[in-house]
Amino acid sequence: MQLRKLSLIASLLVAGAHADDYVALEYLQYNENDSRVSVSAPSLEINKDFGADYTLNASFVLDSVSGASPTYYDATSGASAHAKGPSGDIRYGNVTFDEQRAAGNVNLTTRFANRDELKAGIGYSTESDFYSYEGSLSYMHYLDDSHNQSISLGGSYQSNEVLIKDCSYNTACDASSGASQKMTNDGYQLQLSFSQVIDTTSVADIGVFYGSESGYLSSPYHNIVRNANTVVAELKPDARDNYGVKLGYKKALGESLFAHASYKYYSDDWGINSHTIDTKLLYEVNDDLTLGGGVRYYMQSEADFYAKAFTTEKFASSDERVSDFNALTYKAELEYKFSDDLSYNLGANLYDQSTGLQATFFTTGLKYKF
Amino acid sequence: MRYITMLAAALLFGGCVSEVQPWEKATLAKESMKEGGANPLVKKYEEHIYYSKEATKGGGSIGAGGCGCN
Repeated sequence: MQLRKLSLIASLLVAGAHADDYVALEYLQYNENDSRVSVSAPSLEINKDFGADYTLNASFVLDSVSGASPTYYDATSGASAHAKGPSGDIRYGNVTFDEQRAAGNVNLTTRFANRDELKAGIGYSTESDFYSYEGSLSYMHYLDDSHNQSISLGGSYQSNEVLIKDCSYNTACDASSGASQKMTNDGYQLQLSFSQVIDTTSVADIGVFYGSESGYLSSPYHNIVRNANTVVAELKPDARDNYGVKLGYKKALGESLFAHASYKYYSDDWGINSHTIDTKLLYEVNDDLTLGGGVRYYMQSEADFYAKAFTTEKFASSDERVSDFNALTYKAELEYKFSDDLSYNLGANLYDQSTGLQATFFTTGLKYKF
Repeated sequence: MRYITMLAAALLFGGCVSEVQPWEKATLAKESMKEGGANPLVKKYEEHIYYSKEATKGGGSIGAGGCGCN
């Protein structure tokens, strides 16, 4: 009986997420080089336990996005993002935009007598030209009495609406009038993972995931050049299946130093394969101050339909996000506890992509436990 | 079932797994050992930035949300 009580307490501590009631305020400032995208995003999160068996978590974020996205355009047509030739003045450059995004998630976690967890969530994200709705469900089952092993199965379904504001030159549209047109896509993700406590100072996990999406998967803001004289909107395939494997490891290196490392392999039927290695070290200077730093390395191969120029290919994109590149992120963070209830955090990150994209992002926030 | 999972864990993690009792998990329970650290909102920001700048989808948080992402 005593062991069962201790096991329950330990599982509450290790799971962590349901050990606190808190409200957190966080702010993100993201800036890209070359006068590209700039984002200001305040967010709010509330986590509330209802007894030992239920936890409600809600988070909301407001993004103000401004700047420019690089694509091809026809300067003789007024530098519109949707301009079309044939013309002799095709250029590659930044096309400006402003956007507001509001997004929210609500999750309810239910715990059963054996402390297994069922988590159900809904989410939404809205922009003037994009609407997304999502539902998710995951179940975590402990495989042993000491709660050293657990297995989790999760899935999510997402339905999206994309508004093409100018259909005049977009071959994905049915409309011939040039009026805006609503396109849709949807998809699901499945994830199976296994977590193992290795010893008193380390834990590891391994997971596999699979996803599928279909519908309009192109970006209405990215154009291509055909036959060296015509600018039209890109067209990506209308379906994508992906799968991958993820490994994670966390280790306490003594009383005050902690190491996190993870690796992810990803592959999809667009021809894109990627590898992600993420590392972080945290050092607890004293009871109040924790410093952290890390490096993330990412590399991906290009999609089968990616190129800088096209002739008659059906699927065609010059979107850098489906090109061959690698990226490094350098991360630094600080957490300071004013008291047992109130803490402050600050993060600084530099993201450096081999495409030429560089970005800095800073996060700062307060967390209050009640 | 227990022995099967123990065997699978031993194979996966190289036989270095030891039985940890509930009262031995103080270090594992620290915030510095949590996935994503003490601030889940920061992890969400990071996942959203990578989602919008890279082609990889999946393998992160279940129910992470989407965007138009110019």
